[in-house]
Amino acid sequence: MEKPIIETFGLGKKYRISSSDVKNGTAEKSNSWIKSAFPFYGKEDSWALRNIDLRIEKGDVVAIMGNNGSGKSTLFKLLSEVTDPSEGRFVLRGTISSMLEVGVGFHLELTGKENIFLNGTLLGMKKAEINKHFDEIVAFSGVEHYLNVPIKKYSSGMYVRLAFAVASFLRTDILLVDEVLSVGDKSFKEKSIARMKEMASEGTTIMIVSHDTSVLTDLCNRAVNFQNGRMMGEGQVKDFLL
Amino acid sequence: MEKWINHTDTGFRFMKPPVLWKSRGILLHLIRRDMLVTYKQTILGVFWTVLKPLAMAMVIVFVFGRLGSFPDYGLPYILIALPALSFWEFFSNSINRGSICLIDDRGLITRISFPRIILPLNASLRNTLGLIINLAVTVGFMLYYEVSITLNLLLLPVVYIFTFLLNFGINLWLSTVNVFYRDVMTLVPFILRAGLFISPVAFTLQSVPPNLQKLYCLNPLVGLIESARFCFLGKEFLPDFQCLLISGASLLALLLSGLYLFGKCERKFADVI
Repeated sequence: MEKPIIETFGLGKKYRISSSDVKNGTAEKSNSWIKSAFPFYGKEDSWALRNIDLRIEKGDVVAIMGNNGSGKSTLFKLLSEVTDPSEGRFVLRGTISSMLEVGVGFHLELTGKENIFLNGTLLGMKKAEINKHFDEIVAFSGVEHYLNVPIKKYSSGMYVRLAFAVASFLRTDILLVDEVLSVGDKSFKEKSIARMKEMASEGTTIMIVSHDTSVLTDLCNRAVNFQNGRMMGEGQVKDFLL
Repeated sequence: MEKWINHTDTGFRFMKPPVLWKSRGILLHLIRRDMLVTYKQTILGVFWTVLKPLAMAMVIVFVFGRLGSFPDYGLPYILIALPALSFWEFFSNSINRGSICLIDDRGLITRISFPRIILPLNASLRNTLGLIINLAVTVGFMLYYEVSITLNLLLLPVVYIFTFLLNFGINLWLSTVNVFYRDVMTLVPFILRAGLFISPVAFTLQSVPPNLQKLYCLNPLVGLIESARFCFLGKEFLPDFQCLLISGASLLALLLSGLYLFGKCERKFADVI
């Protein structure tokens, strides 16, 4: 049997947070200005994620569920190597790309076309790849007529559509998608979900964070539930619906 | 393909040449971005690159050439000032940008994984085009004053490479420390303003008291600026070899310590920035 494409062993991430941030709204507040002026004063460890043992099989489309602050995004940051684990380790058996937020590196002063190339390169696409998919990206985003306009003049809808379009043409074994399916209007949303399904059928392993449970039920064949930085269970999306 | 990531891994990921080579596209695109962005929505556009140092040269010529008392080099004063000023502009531009290059692109650092050393690298190469234009303007002035041009000009790329390495070394330091303590970005413009006067931009090494000259050469810019003058003005400005060695050594120390510091801290950037 093939080994899992992602495996984590006791993965954990800790942040140092000043204690006044944690106990917000209590009597502590009276001397908070001292703490802000002297940053060494009163720091506490806070575990954003701890003891995560996760196995993702190749071709899975996994929903990562949980409330805000349950560590979903931290998990993605660890897996995509944006930040380092504080304990534990993990293994990746394929290339990984992340859509943690759409429009990484988008610059408002640059035109749509310039941004497609900048963003694509930053996401790890080769120039030839971008050239090859350029027309598809543009068609998908629907901003054909504004390609040579600085994106600061774009509407917010056009902006996210363009950003999503670039990211959705990534060629990668594992794709991390964080809350970016809810961008754009209804028809664009349907288009992006269709695109996700297409990628999944091509064999891309996908992990998705979304608060839109209907999307998750539609797309995913597995689900993992997180609470307060701990893994609380695995199963189907419907098992964790409230 | 298996890739293990362990919490015990240490820094220095970027030290692997293949990793850097694969990311060259990112560097090129960042360079392009910065060039495009700098002069968007300006009237004079890229001409600003020429105007800024020219205006500065005028001020320096006026203040130091007319008001100050300096030895007569047998050359128009502007020809003493311009080669130095061109490299100074390149240097100070890059340091200004370098100190904030990481926090300015925090969007990239917190969202994608790429060799972060590309950011200070990009800042250190910044304004190369401006340097070339300024050097061309200097040659123009030499033609105007009918000063003979020698083959020494061909050594300019060497001076350029060493200035770039100096930028890189300092930017590694400043950008890293600035991630943790933003005091740096407040300090840098002030230090640069002082640096213009303590570096031999408006004067030459000869104006420094002889017993202090060796100490003065610890400033890597001394060696670089003196060499730049030599490239343009020839034999009379041949830099002192010992001075070059001292400047080179302190440049190397800056660069190596910068690489070490950056490598040590790089993994914490995304959490702190």
